[in-house]
Amino acid sequence: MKPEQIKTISIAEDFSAYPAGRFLEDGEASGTAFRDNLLIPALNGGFDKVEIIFDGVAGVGSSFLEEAFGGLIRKTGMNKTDLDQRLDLKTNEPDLEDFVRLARRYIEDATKVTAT
Amino acid sequence: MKKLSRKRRQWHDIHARKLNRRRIKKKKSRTRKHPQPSRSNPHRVHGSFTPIHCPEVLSLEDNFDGVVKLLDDIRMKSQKHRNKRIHIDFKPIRTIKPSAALVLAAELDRWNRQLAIRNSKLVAVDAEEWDSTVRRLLREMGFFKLLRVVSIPEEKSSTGIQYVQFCSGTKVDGKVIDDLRRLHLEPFVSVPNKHLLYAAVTEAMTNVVHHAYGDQTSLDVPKHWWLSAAYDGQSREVAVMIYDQGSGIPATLPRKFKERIRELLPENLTKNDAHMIQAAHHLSRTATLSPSRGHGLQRDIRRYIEELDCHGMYRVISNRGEYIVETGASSDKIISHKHPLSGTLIEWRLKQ
Repeated sequence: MKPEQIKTISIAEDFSAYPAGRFLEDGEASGTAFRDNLLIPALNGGFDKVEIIFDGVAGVGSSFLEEAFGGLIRKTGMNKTDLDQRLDLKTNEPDLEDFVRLARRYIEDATKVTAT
Repeated sequence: MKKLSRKRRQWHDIHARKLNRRRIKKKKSRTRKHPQPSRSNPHRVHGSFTPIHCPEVLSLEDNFDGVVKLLDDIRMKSQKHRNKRIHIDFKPIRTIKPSAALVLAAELDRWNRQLAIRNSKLVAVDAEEWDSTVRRLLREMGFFKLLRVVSIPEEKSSTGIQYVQFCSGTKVDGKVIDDLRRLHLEPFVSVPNKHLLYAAVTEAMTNVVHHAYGDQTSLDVPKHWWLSAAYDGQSREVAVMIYDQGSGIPATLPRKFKERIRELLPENLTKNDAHMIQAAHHLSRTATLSPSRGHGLQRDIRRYIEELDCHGMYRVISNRGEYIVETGASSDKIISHKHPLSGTLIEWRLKQ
């Protein structure tokens, strides 16, 4: 059996330790930039699973999380079920667990809105 | 020689007096246009200028109207009397609070940027005569850097409160917040829930970039935010503040939020800024009508205080409204001011 191919993206190391803002004009480390430059290419890159590691970031605002993860549903047409199988959001830092939960919630909310 | 009649002599007297008056007026206006620097102190300027007097108490808590009047005065005179020399008299100030100092710094920074377009700049002319506590605070907050004064000696704090030099920007800049905490606060006092503070301040910056200035395109109001902090090592109190000179929260709420607030509030209260700010916070906690936008106010900006284990206070002043949340208090507090603060000030305070 072919081993599962996993792509790991560390937000702090591969993108920015200071993710902030929603749109490209907000700044270099915006949610749109993360989604379009890293997240979508990884999901379309033929990997079985994409892991997003939150460790090492200074924090994450809701605008960034909503645009990166909620925007993923709006932009690609994927839904929560697709992403549950292919996208894994992780952190080993207890202080960052809230942000991971919030990102998952934005995926849920965007799926509901897109469905209606 | 013909003898002048009495009537003619009177006419000459009146004419001479008129000429003299005109000469004096002309001399005065020449002095106003070309003020001469003093020989003993090159920063002191003699000659006429348009004065702006600072109040004795520069505090948004204790003299809100006085601070607003000063800011309005600076803005009005810097725009209306562009070709005249203006002097802001800091000497009367006896008490100054960090939040008032930040809004004043922002106003001077805005004015300085305007002057830079015409190759001019603000200068401090009599800093040695200011109250020493005031001078120290203004120095630490970066006033003298703004006013390009380098000769003011460092002074020790008599109150134990230290201020962090303000910074400004037009984009959402997370590194600035992390530096503020890591380099300027934590070597002296600990800042709890650092990730949540980061989220709160970046969301406040995002709101400035997206909403605060609306469609304002005037060069007089650059779309900036100004950020600063203060700490008291003895009482272990920390304050972080961010300010913008936009149109204010009540005027720039997303349309759907405004419609929903109008459904919730009696009509007379929808014109009250304090009630509008409070409603915007409550609605962003529960609203599902705008799922992708408008949640930052409650979810990040106010939340930082709610998640603290210590005593904290969150305060928003926007236009005529003020909204205060304190940990342990049974309800939020709102205040309506007579005169509006131009823009929005958000302040987080915590005591360990």
